Amino acid sequence: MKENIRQTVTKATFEVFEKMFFVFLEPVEDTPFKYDSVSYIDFGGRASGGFSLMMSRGLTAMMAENMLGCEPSEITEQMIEDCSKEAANMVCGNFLRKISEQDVFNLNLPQYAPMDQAAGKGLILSGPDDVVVHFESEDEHLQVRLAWKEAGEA
Amino acid sequence: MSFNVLIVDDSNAMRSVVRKVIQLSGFRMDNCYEAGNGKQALEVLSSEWVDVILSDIHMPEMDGFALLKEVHQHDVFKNIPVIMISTEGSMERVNEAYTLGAKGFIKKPFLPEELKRILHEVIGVGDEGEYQADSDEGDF
Repeated sequence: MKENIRQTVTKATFEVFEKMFFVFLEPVEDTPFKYDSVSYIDFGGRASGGFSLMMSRGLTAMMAENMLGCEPSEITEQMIEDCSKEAANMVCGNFLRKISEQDVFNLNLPQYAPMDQAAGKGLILSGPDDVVVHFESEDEHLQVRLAWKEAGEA
Repeated sequence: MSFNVLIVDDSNAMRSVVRKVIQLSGFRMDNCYEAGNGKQALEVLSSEWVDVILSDIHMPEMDGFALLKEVHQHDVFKNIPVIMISTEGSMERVNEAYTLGAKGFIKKPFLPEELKRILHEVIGVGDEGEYQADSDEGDF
């Protein structure tokens, strides 16, 4: 079951980054990396949980440039925050649709924080049963972490 | 014929993407109004005429479904076609949107071509050249 969920997280993430950000991700093994920001979203319904997307600065800049069609010099912090939050929103929604199109899940609004503020805001998931997938693209890094609990599960 | 478009989304980035896709799709757009939620969208509608509304569902203050209900209960606005664009794409949500009067539903993430196709279907142009399908798409 966990491997199925992991594959679905991988596919959902890959699709969002390819279609909306024109970034082609490659799943990689866990490698220690100092991420720069986190976007987070949680959801409820038949199952509840949340997604943390930890990203390197270069990746978020690339996402904003590609999504908004801007030059690097035009990118602002607000654009990076908007794109990062939208990424969490779309990865979560796309994942939940792939899990079940019959079930209604309620998504909360996405949140974003620089890495040094993210833990204080509770945006970094760290459960022992979390599904974790690492990606790279052009030497930039992304870690997607999912906490998933079926209704009635302890 | 040109169109006035209203894009409703709490994400600046997503509003920008939708606007650019419309611009690159060959639709003649006179005015593109933007709103961050349903409440702001109703304010725009009270002062500006729009031909089509593209709205997210999940927004603070007033969500896309509440906007859809308001639009379709209003004597003047009820004929404005509304296309929903959302990450929330369960069958129940999609059916709910159509029941409330939506004319189209686009699930995020989407390819520019999907938005373009649904806009084409909903606005119903093309015979007179307003919609130049595939002839000058530009680079998405």
